[in-house]
Amino acid sequence: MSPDADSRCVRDGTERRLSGRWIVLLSLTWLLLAIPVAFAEEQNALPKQPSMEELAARPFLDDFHGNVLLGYRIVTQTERYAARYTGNRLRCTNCHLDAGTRADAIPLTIAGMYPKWRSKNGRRNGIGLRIRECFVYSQNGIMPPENAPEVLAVAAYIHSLSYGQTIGRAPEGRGVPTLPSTGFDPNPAKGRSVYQEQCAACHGENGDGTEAAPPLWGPYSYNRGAGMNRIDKAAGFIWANMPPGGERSLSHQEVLDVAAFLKIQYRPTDPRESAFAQLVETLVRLFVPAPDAVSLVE
Amino acid sequence: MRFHWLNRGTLLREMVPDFRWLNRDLVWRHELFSGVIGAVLVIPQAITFAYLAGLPPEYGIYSAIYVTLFACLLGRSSIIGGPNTAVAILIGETVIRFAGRGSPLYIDAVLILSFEVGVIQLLIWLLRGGRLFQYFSPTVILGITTAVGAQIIFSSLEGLTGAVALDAPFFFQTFQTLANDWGHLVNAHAFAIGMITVICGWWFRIRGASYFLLAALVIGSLASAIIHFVTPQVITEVDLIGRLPFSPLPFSRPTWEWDTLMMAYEMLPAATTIAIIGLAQTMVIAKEINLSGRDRVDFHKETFAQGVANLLSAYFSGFAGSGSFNRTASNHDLKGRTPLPGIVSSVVVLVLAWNLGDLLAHIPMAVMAGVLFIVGLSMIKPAKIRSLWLIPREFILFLATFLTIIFLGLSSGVIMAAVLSLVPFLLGAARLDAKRVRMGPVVSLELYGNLFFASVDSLSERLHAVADRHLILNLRHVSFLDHGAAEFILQEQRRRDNASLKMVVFTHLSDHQSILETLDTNNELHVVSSLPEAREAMVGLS
Ligand code: HEC
Ligand code: HEC
Repeated sequence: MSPDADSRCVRDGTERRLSGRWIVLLSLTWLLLAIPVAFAEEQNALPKQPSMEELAARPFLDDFHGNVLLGYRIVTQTERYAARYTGNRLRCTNCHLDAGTRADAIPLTIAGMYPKWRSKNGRRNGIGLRIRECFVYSQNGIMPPENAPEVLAVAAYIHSLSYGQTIGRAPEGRGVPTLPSTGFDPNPAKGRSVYQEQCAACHGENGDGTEAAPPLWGPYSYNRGAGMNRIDKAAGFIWANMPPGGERSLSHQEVLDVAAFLKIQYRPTDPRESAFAQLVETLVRLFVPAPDAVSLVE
Repeated sequence: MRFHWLNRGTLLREMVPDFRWLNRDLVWRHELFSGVIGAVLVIPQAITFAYLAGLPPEYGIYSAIYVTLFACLLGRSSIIGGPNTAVAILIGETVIRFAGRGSPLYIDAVLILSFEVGVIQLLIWLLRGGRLFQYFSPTVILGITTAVGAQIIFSSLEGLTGAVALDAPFFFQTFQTLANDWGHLVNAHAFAIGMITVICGWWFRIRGASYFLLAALVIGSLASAIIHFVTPQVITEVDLIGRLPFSPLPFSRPTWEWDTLMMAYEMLPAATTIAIIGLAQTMVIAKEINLSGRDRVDFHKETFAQGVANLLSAYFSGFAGSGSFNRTASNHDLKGRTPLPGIVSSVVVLVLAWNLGDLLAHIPMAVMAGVLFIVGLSMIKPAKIRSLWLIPREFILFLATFLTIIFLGLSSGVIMAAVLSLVPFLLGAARLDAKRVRMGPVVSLELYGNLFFASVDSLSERLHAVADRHLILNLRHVSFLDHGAAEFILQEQRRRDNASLKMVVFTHLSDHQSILETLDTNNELHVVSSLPEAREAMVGLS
């Protein structure tokens, strides 16, 4: 209402009563108009996607939905449904929490962001390459071919998760949060005590995992080429998601320290490193004395 | 028609496993050794045939275990069954229309198809069709194997060059794509590994080693191990088989739903072709064994065993198979004479696949493609083709089969081949010769050939020439008489009766007599079973 109309109401009582009636009338017409509009909106809204339970209960699935369900199973039970290319005890859902649906936990609702250009091979690569890379590094497995049924199934699942997203716009909470600089270097020694206080109960004293949580290092965890092996990514992930139930309770410095601690632990080598080069290196080491102190922190 | 062959005792005897071969003086050492070698031979084939069928490798292994096991337990011969090239190609060709390779729906469709193939083969068994396959002419079979060999070579190109999604509907498109864009498509590492495999394998084959496929596999894998020792797989991007998610009892079940039933219905023609092609191969092997006098193979029992094995493959995560030429040959070379080597081989495959999973995981697909290439190449037999070249009619048959398969696919090609095999036979069968003997007013017409719908026309011509005579129709040399021809004879009798001419049909075959009798409801025909009787009937005619 304009201020002008307002003053008029105060001046003249009849007009006020009239305007009261007007209000009732107006709101009625608004209702009459709004209901169909609301319905129309309802109809314009995207139809609901079937949930995975619904899909699993269906007796027959067409090719796409069969693949979506298989993709979901691969993400949640990687060792069972993608055993061919998996090399450790992790599942996709251990890092892509809630089967890839949780924000700030590297959600998989990102089909609209691909294909994208990569400097690595100078080409535009589809979602397939990204999935294959997680098999090689995060799952410490074998690089699947582009057209492996497992890769295609996960791609179908990612597409169905991304339903309703805007193509080319990053979804809310893509990847992991980027932590602001704390001004201090990450300190693995401090990280050790954080680990023992906060994490060891679930992930085990030796980081080899327990019933309650997957391994964080050792032969059955992700390898040195994995994204989780980068201190910034790991810190962002841990800060936003760990420990479950107490998310975001650790300080930025604490998660940086614990991430640095995880980084210096033993884990499988980066599969990009040639075994031949490593052998040569070891041979050289045998004859050439190593330099004295090696700093653990980058 | 009498179903004298549908004797319940016979059927039961064919259905029940028969272990009497255990009592034979079998040399255990030979049988067991042959089984172990068979297992080692079948593993690379199982994996590559699974690839041809568009399935993950473990499905090939499961077929090599369970299809072989059931076929050998129920059969009684030294034929080794299991995954087979032509059948695998046919399965891939059929199922790819419904879903993407290796997707859940695809696998379901393969299970349904294998089930159907089993059922159809059991029907063929019930209808005693096992013998039918003896009529596939050797020329046509040569055409099929040559074309399958060529197809295998084309389908190995993708793995051999490490290119992805090279599959094209026509083989020359594959070549075209490769030629146009080889710089982008060919993975040099994969290609090197593949070529090493092919060359070494072929070298062993020329030397006459029966384990040449195994040698190719081992050498190719070693080459890959060396290459990947220097350059990691992540960088070479050479496809590896990967760990086999192996389970010793891989139960599965085809989904029976409205939609899958529709699929099953659409796949029926293909399933029939596959059933026939599978049985035809088993029967060709059986025929060879019978000719060699090594053993007597019971066609029907083997048909039943094959059908059951294929039907059950759908419940053990396998796909349909058939008798295998090369593994049966190796079995015979190693003096295996009973079903025991097959049973041993399936057990050994189970143990090996269970324990060697990690070793198998690092075998590149390029090596598998190399093995496939060699398999394909050795199916093409230039010497045999050259010998056909001298007989133009056979060569045309061969060429027609070959080209149909190459251009229209295996299933159409096989139907074409079946028709082509029968054409010369039918033309020959429809020929009717006649000897005419005049005995005063009576003519005796002695027929040579078969009397059936195709030769009735020629018969009517002969009868027309003696239309105004009394007639003795001598069917002594007619081996086959069908309903249509019998009816024609009845009409002729009526015509002559109306013209007051006498006609006697002479045949001593009870089959002919019963056909004529059942047709002749009003007792119009005059059928006799000896020549004197016929002459007697003609006495006193002028
Ligand atoms: C050890 C933890 C871990 C596991 C296990 C893991 N990933 Fe990842 N994944 C990551 C990290 C870290 C990133 C990279 C995040 C970044 O670069 O911002 C990532 C990124 C991705 C992306 C791209 C996401 C984006 O935003 O573009 C996809 C797709 C993906 N992973 C798929 C998978 C699949 C499929 C599996 C299972 C086979 C898997 N991941 C298992 C840690 C993991
Ligand atoms: C209550 C038990 C619990 C505690 C405490 C806990 N985690 Fe976890 N953690 C989990 C579980 C469970 C997962 C797997 C999540 C899933 O599958 O949904 C996980 C996953 C992870 C992952 C990714 C998967 C992997 O194995 O690499 C990292 C990294 C991780 N935790 C780090 C930590 C760190 C660092 C701490 C201590 C600050 C910690 N966690 C404390 C239960 C715990």
